Amino acid sequence: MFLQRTASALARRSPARAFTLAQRPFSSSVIRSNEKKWAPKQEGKILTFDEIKGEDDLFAPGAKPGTIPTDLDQATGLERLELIGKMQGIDIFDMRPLDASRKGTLQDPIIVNGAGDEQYAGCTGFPADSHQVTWLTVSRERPIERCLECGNVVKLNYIGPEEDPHAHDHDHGHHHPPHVEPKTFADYVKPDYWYR
Amino acid sequence: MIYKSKSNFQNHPFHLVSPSPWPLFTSLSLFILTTATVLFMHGFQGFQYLVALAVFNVIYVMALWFRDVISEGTYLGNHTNAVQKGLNLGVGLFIISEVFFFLAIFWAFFHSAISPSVELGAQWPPLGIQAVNPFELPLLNTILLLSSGVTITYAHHSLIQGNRKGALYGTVVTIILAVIFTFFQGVEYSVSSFTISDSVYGSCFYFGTGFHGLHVIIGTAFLAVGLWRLAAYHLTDHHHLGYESGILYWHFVDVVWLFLYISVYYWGY
Amino acid sequence: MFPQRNLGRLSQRAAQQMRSAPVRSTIQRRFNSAEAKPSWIVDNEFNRERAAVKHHAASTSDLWRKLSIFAVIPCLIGGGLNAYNLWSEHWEHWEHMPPLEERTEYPYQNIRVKNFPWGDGDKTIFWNSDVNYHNKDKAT
Repeated sequence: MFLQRTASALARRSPARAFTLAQRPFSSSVIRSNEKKWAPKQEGKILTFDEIKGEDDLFAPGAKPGTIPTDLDQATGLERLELIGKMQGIDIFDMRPLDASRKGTLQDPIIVNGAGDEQYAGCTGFPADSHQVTWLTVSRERPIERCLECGNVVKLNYIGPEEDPHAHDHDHGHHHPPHVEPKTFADYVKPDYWYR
Repeated sequence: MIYKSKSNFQNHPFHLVSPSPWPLFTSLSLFILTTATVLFMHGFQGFQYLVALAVFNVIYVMALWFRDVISEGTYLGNHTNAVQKGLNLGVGLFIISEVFFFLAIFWAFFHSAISPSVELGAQWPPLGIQAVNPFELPLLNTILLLSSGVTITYAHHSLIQGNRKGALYGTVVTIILAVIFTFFQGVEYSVSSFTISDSVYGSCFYFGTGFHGLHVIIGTAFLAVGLWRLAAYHLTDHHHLGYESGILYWHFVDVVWLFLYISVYYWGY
Repeated sequence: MFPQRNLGRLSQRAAQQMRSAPVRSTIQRRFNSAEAKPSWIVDNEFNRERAAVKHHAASTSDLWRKLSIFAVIPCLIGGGLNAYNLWSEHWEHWEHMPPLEERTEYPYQNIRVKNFPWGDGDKTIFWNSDVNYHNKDKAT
C-alpha cells in the first residue's frame, strides 16, 4: 500500500507522467489506478490528409479538460480519415452514382474509378434508370466492359496503389505455374473483334 | 494523389461488424425472461427469482453490447458518416415502431371509452370509478415533462456550441425532472382509488400510463448514459449520435404523454 | 495578452513554415490554442454546413438557457402549488366520503380470475389499503 503510494507520488512528480496525462484523449473515463495501463502508447497529432499514411496517423490529441472536444480534436480511425478528407474537400468514399450524363462508347467510355483489382459498376442505361440495373465487373485485367442491356461502355480507371501489398506472395514460396485462361471460341474470331 | 494513402484503409465507409456473442446472449436472456414471466404469472413457485435473474441478465448483456458499440464508435472510429446515417435511420425506425405500439394502446382505450357499454353504466369513467383529477398531479407532470424538453434542448445546443458546463447542467436538470416525474406517477398510482383490475377503465389507464412510465424510465437511462459519455469526453460537438437519439427518444416519450394527458386524463375525466 | 499570444503564434507559424517539420508544427499548434483553425481547412460546403450548425446552436442556446431558468422554474412552482392545493382539497373531500366498505362495488370492479402470484394473492401491485378496498362477499 505504502509502496504503491510512494510510487505513484514519484510518478506524479516526474515530467513523463504529466506528459502522458496531458495526452490522454478521454481524461476522466478511467479511474486513476488504471492510468498507467490505459495511458496512450503514442502521442496524438492533427495531421493533414496528405500526411496520413496509416492507422497510426489517425490519433488526435483529444480535448483539453473542461471543454467539449471537436471532431478535429478527437475523432479517430476511419471516421477521422473521412473527416480530414472532407475538411480538405476530398471525398475519400466516392459514393456518387455512376456517371449517366451520356452513353459510353468504346472510343469514349464512362470512366469508373477503382482502387482494387475489381470494381462493380451498376449500369441503369442512359438516361439513368431507363433499364433494370446491370452489374458490370471491370477489373485490372479486363478494364472495359459493355452493358448487355444498352451497350453502355464502362472502363476502369485504376487509382489504387501501384504495388498492392496483398497481391503477391500468395503461394508462400511454393511454385505454381501461372493461371492461364482456357481458350474459348472468342479466341478464334477475327482479331478485329478481340477484346480491347 | 488523393488515393495515395487509401491502400492502408478500407475503401468503403461501412462498418462490417466483427463477430459478437451478444446477439445470442440477448436472445437467450429474453427467452428466459418471457418463459420465467409466463410461469410466474401462472403461479409456479419460486419463478420470481428466475424473472429477477433474467431481467438482470437482459440489462447486463445490453450493457456489454452497448459498451462494444461505444468502443467501436468512440475509440475505434468505425462510425463514419454513412454508418452514422444508418444508426440514425435505425433509431428513427425504432421510434416509429414505438409510435405504433402506443397507437394500439390508444386504440384499446378509445374502443372502450368512446362508446362505454351499458354494463359500465354507459358512461366514462364507469360508474363507481373515481378518475384522477387531471389538473392535480397530471398537470404538474405535464409541466415537468415539457420543462425537461426545454432543458435538454439547452443542453444539446450547449454541446454543439462547445459549452461543456451548460451541456452537463442541462442534462443533469433534465434527468432530475425525469426522476421527479416518475416519482409523482408512482405517488399517483398508489393513491388512486381504482386499480388495474377495476373495469376496462383501470386496465386501459394502467396499460397506457404504465407503458409510458416504463418508457420514461428507459428514456431516463438513455439520457443518463448520454450524461456519462458527456462527462467522460466521449461526445464531440458534431458526433454525439447516442446523445441525440436519447433526446429524440425523450421527445417521443414527451409527445406520448401529451396524448395520454389530453385523451386519458383530461377527456376521460 | 492577446496581441502577445498572436505574435507568438505568428512567429511560431513562420518558424514551422521555414523548418517544415510536420510533427513539431502539430505539437506547437496543440499547445498554442485549440481555437486556432488549421490553415489547411478549406472553405467548402461541408465545412460551411458544420459551421452553420454550430452557429445556429450558439445563437439560440442563450434563449433556451433563459427559458430553462425564467420559464421553467415559475411554471414548476405554479404547477406545484396548484397540485398541492388540489391535493389537499382532494383529501379534504375524501374524508367526507362514506367509508370504503360502504361504497358500492360494481361487478366490474376488483375482477379476480385467479390469485396474483404475489402477496396474499388479492392485492394488485400498487395496492393501498387506505384508498382501495375489495369486498370479497359481493354478489357477483
